[in-house]
Amino acid sequence: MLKEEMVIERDVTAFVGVVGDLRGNIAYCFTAETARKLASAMMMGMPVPELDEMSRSAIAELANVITGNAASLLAEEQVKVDITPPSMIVGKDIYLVLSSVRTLIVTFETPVGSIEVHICLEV
Amino acid sequence: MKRILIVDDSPMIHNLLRKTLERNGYEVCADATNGREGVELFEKHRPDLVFMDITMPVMDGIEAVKTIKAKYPEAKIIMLTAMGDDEIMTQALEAGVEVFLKKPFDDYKIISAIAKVI
Amino acid sequence: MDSRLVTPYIESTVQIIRQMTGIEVTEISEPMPGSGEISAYGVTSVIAFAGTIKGRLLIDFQPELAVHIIKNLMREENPVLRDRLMLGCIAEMNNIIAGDANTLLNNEYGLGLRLAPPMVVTGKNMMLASSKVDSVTVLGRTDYGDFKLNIAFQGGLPS
Repeated sequence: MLKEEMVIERDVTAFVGVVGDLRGNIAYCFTAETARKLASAMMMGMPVPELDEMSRSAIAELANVITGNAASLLAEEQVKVDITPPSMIVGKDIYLVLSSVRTLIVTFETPVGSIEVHICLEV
Repeated sequence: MKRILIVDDSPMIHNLLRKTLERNGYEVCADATNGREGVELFEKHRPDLVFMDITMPVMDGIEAVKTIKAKYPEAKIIMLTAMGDDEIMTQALEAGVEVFLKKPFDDYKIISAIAKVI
Repeated sequence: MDSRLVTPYIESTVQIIRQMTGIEVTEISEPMPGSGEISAYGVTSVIAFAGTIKGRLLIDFQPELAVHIIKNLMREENPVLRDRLMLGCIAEMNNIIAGDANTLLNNEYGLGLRLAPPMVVTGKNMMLASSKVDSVTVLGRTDYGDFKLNIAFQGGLPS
């Protein structure tokens, strides 16, 4: 599903900055429940009853690895980018603005819930 | 009255800079939010002066300066940016900007820069 | 953490808040080792950058202070926080602060740090975390409310 929007309102967002031939941020957004299940899957199925420090770090790592992989694929297409350290936010009543440019949102449906990937690049 | 084009992707900068310029007797003839729009509006309005940011979507400020200067070598452009290290400043000056300014700005900084150029 | 990496961000924050909003930082703490996890006051902006080393600057404001900053920047009487344009100016100020500090570090140490666009968020019970970084937290106070800075780096300067 593709949408254009600039505000993120989901409870959990992990994002990574991109600099170089492309500049922007890639954000991965989910509900707290999906985040817990993702973190659990990343930690060999260990139960994650709430998003603690370790599981938050796992989510940030997920964002880092996915974006890093994308950067390598881009390099194969002669588009050279570097990625910044990942950050994540967890909260309630979130109103998050990634930047002033339009964002493309690709939503992945998974068995643990949906993951919204906000691709916010200056192109 | 001298006419100025502002090219910057931040609405806040447009707001602040416009007020500074109008307070000091300049007219803002147009606003662009990316480099390509900046080039188009330059062609349309032929302002006396341009304030150009660097990091913008679609086309960045350095590209926009080169594009404008290629067609209008007499164009007067002041670069106004958050990133002002030596490497970027050199690129900007080589592209043809008259003055390189770092944000944040105040009335004095803006007015004295304009005085150097027009 | 190497104070040469930390001091520029503290100084830029204080100076730029003053220059852009007229608000004075009345107290600023010594940098304290961070845990990488920050419990936010309510309005937070994060901007990350990469060059020969990588890092990110987080500035977190109490909502009352954020409102005051936006008021001064936008000349808006009663700014609403949950607004793209209003929050955008907090992000822009962070961009200028990080840009200013990075300029100094780039010129001094040749780090080639390039900024990604800033993020800004408001919400309740927010926790922010960054991984793979070493960080310090600095607490600041103004007449309109408190703020905190978290300066994080991956990699450091050669000794």
